[in-house]
Amino acid sequence: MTAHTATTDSLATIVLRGRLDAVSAVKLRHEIDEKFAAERFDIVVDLAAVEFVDSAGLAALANGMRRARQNAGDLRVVYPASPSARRVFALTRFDQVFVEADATTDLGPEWL
Amino acid sequence: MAPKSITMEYETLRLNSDHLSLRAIGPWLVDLAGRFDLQPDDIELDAVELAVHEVAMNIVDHSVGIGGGEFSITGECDELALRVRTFDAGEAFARSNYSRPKFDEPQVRGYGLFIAEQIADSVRYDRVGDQNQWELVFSFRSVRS
Repeated sequence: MTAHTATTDSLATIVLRGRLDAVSAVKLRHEIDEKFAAERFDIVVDLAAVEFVDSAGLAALANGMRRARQNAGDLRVVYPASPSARRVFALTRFDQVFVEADATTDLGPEWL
Repeated sequence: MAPKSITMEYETLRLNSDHLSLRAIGPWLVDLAGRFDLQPDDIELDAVELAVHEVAMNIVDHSVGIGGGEFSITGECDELALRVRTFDAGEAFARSNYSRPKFDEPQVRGYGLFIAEQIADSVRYDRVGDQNQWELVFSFRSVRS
């Protein structure tokens, strides 16, 4: 997985590519923790270019959403373009829990 | 789909019990599908990968443990279905401790086996001696319809 982050006055964005699985979920949790440490509780995680999501990736997103909402914010998602990667959200009904965000714009060339 | 008159087995995938190793499941399934001449009309391979991946992740996290050894995965195909089996010598699965997710209050964990059960036509667990065996059956679409 590759990740790119950007922050504006109102929103912190994390853009992911590749696989969001048990390996990369650790990195996502770290990225979210950094946003929270900077007191950014409105976060968009852009999964449009993600090709695979498992339950560990879902757990990282759900945990971030719960903590954001506890701090009067939210963690919204841009769902994967790939139907197979979207599947896990429908199977677990998290597609009814996450607020869908609009697609993010190009955030530049620097990838973490 | 070309009828498969005999049962075919595919070479065993042996994995170290860690999360990174699970990324070998997808390519292994692609190769397996090629050997069995499975077509996209037969089976949705991405879904099969997710189901097998989730069972394998349970093995890593709850049975063998991270870095605790190895486990193996086999594939078998006949005219009706693809069967994927896992074998590990870790802790026995305690079905009494497993409960399906409660959707009225979204929880953070506990979805792995549920996801596998939603995708596969059947998910079966057996404890044979000191070994855990999971079998996931994926019926071909032509059989389902």
